[in-house]
Amino acid sequence: MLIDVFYVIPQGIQPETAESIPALELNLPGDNTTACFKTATALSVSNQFCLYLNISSTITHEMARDIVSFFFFGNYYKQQAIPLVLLQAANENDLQAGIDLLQQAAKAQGYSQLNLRRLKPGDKEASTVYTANDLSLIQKAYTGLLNNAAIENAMYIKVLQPGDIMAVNQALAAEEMQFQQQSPLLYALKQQVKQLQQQVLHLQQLSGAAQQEISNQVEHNHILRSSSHSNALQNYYNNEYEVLPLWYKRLGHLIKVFTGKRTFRSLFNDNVKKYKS
Amino acid sequence: MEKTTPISVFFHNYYGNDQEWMRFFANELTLPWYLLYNGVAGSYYRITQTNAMFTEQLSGCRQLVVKQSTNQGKDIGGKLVLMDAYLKLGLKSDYILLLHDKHSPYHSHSKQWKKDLFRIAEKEFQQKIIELFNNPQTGIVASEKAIRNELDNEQKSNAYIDSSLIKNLKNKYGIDPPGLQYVAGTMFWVRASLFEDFFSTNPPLQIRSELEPGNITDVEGPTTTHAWERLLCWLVTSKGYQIKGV
Repeated sequence: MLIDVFYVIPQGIQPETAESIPALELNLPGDNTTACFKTATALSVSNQFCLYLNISSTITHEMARDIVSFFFFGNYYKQQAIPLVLLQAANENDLQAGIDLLQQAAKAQGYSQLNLRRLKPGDKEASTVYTANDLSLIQKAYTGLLNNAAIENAMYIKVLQPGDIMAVNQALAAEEMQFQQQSPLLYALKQQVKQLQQQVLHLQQLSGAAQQEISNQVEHNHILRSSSHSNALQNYYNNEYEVLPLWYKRLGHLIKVFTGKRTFRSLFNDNVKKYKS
Repeated sequence: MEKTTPISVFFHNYYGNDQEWMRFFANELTLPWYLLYNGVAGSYYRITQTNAMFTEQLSGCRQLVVKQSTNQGKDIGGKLVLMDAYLKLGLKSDYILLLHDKHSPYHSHSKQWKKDLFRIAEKEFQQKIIELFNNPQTGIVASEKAIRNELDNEQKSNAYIDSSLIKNLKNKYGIDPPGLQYVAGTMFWVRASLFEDFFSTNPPLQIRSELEPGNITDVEGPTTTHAWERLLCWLVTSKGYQIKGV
């Protein structure tokens, strides 16, 4: 699909994942994040998903930390390694406080940024959430997005019952096919833009990782060149061997000869090969 | 002694080669197992690897849980992510096996070190390891060459003995070991109930939030990450359990 379609799925409905991005709904506070965690675990690793947080009052640090634990799923929706979280809240203060806590909790786990999208059911803007039974409205909106020149386009649809995703996907696929037939060049261009965007994201990720690895190697070389390891080895040698009396060391040389580890002649002659291996 | 409860293998991966590691576990593990596998998302090696997806059905594997974390706290941070997942999923095991794809590129003897650490995952040692756990006092089993005592760690002075860092952490988490034995390299089998009890009251991700980001080393001074290399063992020995070697 040319447009990313996020399906908001309430707890209790099993996500269907074909050609869709489930946005697992969590009402905070209240909903059990562990149950949602298990639902997410059951998804196929090849299917991306994200969270849709419906914030109705103050959330706690623990709730924020539990939300961040979802970002560790390999199939959690991220772009440039930045996790996406969809948000809804009636109260602005609760929303802002929730956002602050989420960002703090995410930063504490190594996510310096979050992609937070606030959605508003019934809104007429791009942030609206459609309901799955409003099929004609959804189709009209999808066609509008297809004809829209904007590169970043997404759609959000609330699922009401099992089977909704399949039904909506079929309708949207039909719209897309019609668009392809009516405007083949525009369709091909949009497809190419989407592919190129993905390639650019991958290359940015690769470049960042390569830079980090170079920095790691520089530091590793610095450590290897420092004297710390040679000092440690020397200290070990001194403590384990050098401190022993001379007669004991010489006895050890004889044992090496008897056990075949050292040549007999090397006991008397420095110009002879000492060790056999 | 027959064991039907799967062991939980926590594996943290930075250097890729996922398929090879999966085959290693399938070939070596003799008991049924859960595999909790964490890969570092920003690792150059993982981004450039091909065939990253696990496509094979693994013999003996009862459940595969795949995570992808940021590089925070190195392998310790990765294992804490997996501990969090283990608890949230309600998995139950008698033993947890902690492993990671250790390279230690800044150590001059890293290959031998890795070989010594990994013997605990090899087939020939597993029966012996389970027998050691038949002794109820055994809390951890590791490669004998990996068992160290912090008192003998001349390189680090007293960094993990009486520095304010280690004292604060021990106080904060109620860890007071009778001695300072630990497993260097953080690869060992542990009696799962001990970790379940500790991490149920001390959330793994809370601990992880205190670890340093990136490929941290403790050459310049003690770090929280390296302190936890000790504390993960000391939380076991402070409950009266012992570390045994194979």
